[in-house]
Amino acid sequence: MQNMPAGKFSILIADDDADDREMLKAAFEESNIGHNIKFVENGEELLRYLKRKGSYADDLRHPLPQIILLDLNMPKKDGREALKEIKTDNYLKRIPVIVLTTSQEEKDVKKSYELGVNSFIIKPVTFRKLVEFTQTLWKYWFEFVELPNLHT
Amino acid sequence: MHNPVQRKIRLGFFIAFSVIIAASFFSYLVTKNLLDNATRLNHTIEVSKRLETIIKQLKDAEAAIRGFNLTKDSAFLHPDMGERSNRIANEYAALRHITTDSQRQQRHLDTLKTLLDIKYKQLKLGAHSDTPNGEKRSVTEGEKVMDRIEQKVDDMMHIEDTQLHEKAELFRFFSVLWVPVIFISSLVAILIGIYSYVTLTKEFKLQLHIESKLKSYQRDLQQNIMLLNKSNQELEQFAYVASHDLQEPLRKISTFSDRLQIKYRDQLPPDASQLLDRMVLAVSRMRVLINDLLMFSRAGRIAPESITEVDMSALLQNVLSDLEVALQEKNAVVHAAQLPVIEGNITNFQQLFQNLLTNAIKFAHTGRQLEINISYQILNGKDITVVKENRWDEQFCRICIEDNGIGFDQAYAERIFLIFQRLHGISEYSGTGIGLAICKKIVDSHQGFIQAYGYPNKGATFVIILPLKQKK
Repeated sequence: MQNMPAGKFSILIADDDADDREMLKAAFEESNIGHNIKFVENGEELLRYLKRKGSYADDLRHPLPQIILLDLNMPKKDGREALKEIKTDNYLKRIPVIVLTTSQEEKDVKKSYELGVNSFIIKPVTFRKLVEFTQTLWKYWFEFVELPNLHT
Repeated sequence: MHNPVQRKIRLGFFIAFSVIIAASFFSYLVTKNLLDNATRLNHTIEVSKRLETIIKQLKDAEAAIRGFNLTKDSAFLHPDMGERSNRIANEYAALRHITTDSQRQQRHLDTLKTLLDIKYKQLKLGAHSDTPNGEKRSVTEGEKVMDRIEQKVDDMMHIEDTQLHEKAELFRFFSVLWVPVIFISSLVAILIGIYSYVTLTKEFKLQLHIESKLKSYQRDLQQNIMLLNKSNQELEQFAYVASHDLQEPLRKISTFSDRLQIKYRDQLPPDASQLLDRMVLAVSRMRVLINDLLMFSRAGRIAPESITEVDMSALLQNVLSDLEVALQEKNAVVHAAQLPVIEGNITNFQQLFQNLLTNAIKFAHTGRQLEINISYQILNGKDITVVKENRWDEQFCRICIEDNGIGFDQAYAERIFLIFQRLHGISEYSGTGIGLAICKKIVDSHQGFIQAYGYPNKGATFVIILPLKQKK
């Protein structure tokens, strides 16, 4: 855990499903990185967060995430639209986005990569796999990968 | 147009045409006859007029001579006998000219000429004689010659009359026939005309009716195609949505039960943990089924641009090398012919062979070495029973995949291509029963045919019939 000291927020997860949010939270906690995540419930909220709008105006309480986990099928603004908006925003496009979805449709995979997604992951079907995923994710993005500085 | 009607109309027109030609010809004959008759009449009138003139001139000349002999007044000899003879000779010449076509008349005229020559001499003598004796003799002779001339003229008149009469007879014959012939032929032509009109009108109405029917069928067909396309789209959408939305709760069931087992590992009695395991197993089978359903709904969807010429031999080698491990496990022998090039979607063909060969491997007989024979034939559509007449010109490749596995009862030959249909319990052979259903869908979408022949405990043969060229 070199890039980011444990205990500081670094992953923003956008998922509309309360069960999934709870399960992800449990999985991250199981991996001892539960305090590093935050949730938003749809694409619109995600964009509001990233653009510091409304209740997210406070820079200190709501810092920008290091990476974003994004579900594709969500109400209001879905993951595809949110992804497009992030990747066309000059400032936000530097944040890696990882799609985490149930969709196995080939065209979703293709479309997401075309829009500039960094990884496309199909939600693991067991809790054990989910925990394994959170650990791998952390290890990869925060131990091996060099992430951009968001403040310059 | 219906053939019998066309034939009838053609026959009708032929008859009408013949009748009109016949009537025209007959009318021509009648008219020609009428004109001939008129010419003949004129001819007769002229001949008789000229003959009468000759007689009259001769009588006038004789009367003049008699007058001169009685009164000795030379005024009677004016015009003189020479001139009178010339006038008669002119009439004679004219007669000769107009009767050139009749030999009999010419012969009569020859005789008349001789008589007239005698008469000319008598007249010349009569004008100069002054002796009563000679006069008496000359008068008697003159009478005699005159009688003979008149006799000749009568003969000639008689010939003319006979000819005229003959012509008139012929004309009468024609004119008697003419009216009924014209009447009947007109009637026939009119009847045929009416019949043709009625038939053609009927046919025309029928054509209109058929056309409107055809148009309405076309409309119905288009509507049905539209509905079909729509329902196809809906079905695809349904399969997609169903498999996604059905996956969600499944994933949750398995994640939560997994979490349950991990979190309360120590508190759960062993049988509860077992029940959870079975639940997870059922869920994973459900997931496989849904994935298969999704795969089935996607199979055979081929975009026109994805159709290429596929070298089936190379493709088969690829599939065989993919299945190498499985084939080795069963110690299988594969005899494959050099397959031709067929137009189609390469991914689909790959799946087709993969599924069929996997099937053969899966249902191998445990008591003998698995043998798979792959052969082919190129056939015309005409020579394949399942091919409809409209595709008889197309060429097909008939590929047989034959194995010596456990086979199946021929009664199930149709059923095995249905989705999720299985002939064996899940504990005997794994799988959901999707493989052959996908094969059928692929073959169908390539406008081909697939058939299965089973021989229990001996083996199975799968026959794929694919067109060499895909219709654009």
